[in-house]
Amino acid sequence: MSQRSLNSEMIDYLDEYLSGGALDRFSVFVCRQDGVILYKKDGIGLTVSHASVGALLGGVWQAASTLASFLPENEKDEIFRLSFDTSSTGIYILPFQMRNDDYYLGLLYNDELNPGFIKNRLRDLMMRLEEHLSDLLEEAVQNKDSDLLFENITDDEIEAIFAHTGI
Amino acid sequence: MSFVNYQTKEINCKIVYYGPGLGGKTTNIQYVYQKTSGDAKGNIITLNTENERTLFFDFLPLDLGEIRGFKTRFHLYTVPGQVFYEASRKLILRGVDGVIFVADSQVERMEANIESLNGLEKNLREQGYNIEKLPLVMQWNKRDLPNTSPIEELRKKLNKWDCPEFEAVALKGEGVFETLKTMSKHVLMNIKGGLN
Repeated sequence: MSQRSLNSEMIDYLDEYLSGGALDRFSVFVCRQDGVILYKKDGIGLTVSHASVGALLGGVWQAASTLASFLPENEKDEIFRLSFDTSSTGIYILPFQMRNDDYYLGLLYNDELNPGFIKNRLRDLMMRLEEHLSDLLEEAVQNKDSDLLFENITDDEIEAIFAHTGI
Repeated sequence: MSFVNYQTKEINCKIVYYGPGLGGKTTNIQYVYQKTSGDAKGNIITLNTENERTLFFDFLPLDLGEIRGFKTRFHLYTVPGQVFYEASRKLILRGVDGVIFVADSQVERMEANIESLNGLEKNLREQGYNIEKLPLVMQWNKRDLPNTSPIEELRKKLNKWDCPEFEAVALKGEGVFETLKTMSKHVLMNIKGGLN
């Protein structure tokens, strides 16, 4: 299975899990360590671009994770969660791994009577997703690293993509 | 590490503006933000201190046009330049596809430039990158000031890899897009077509 199929699988799996469930009305994101969004379901209707959400999710996790690494009793095998919340509104981030790379599953919720319950649902989702993807990864194949997507891009092509921005 | 979404035919790349404090990194992406039409840019995210020094990072998502059937999206980040934010700089370099080193051309900032560049090399190495293989573009900023080092000296002390280099006055926008376009070209040509 190729990476493109894997991404589609993840999107399909998350869509199916979230549809009609307890997390359906909230915003759920999956992003990579560098903040690139791989999945988005914006039930809340955030007033910010999804790319910005990814950058902030990735940034806040990495900052917290680095801070936590200074704790004297930090056991390496322990899995952290990141929560920033009031009694009804908040952000909850969980990490998971695919092919030894870190990814973050982020939930933004508001106006929720029982945040503990939806956090539990997100943890359940994270475990199921990780298991599902790990099964799929066993079938995955790698292409050669040396294959470049583009070769010999011209200056005119670069000018053309920037022209789109009005520059 | 760039991300190619074959399903949506979209490429995401991460470019980091690196350099000494007050060198003009944030000014670069603010200029890009100002000059980019509304549809192509997302919100600029700035995590600042009270006196507007970058605390964690600035972030600007930029949707460019299509190249050979792929939509291109660049994620522009700046690092905090002040010396004591080394940990933040390391974090922001994770997954980077290309670095624009914004050097302050003023004579008295040469040591700060060198220290920052050494830090960049070390931080990249610690994360498994080889600076010689990563797209890197040098920008000699603040060329309008009276006390600038000659280009030859900047090149000799800071550009030992013979990377593309541009003179700039980021406040006025001079050199900003030239730098970014060259970086974009190098980053796009460096994308692996296989798995990401």
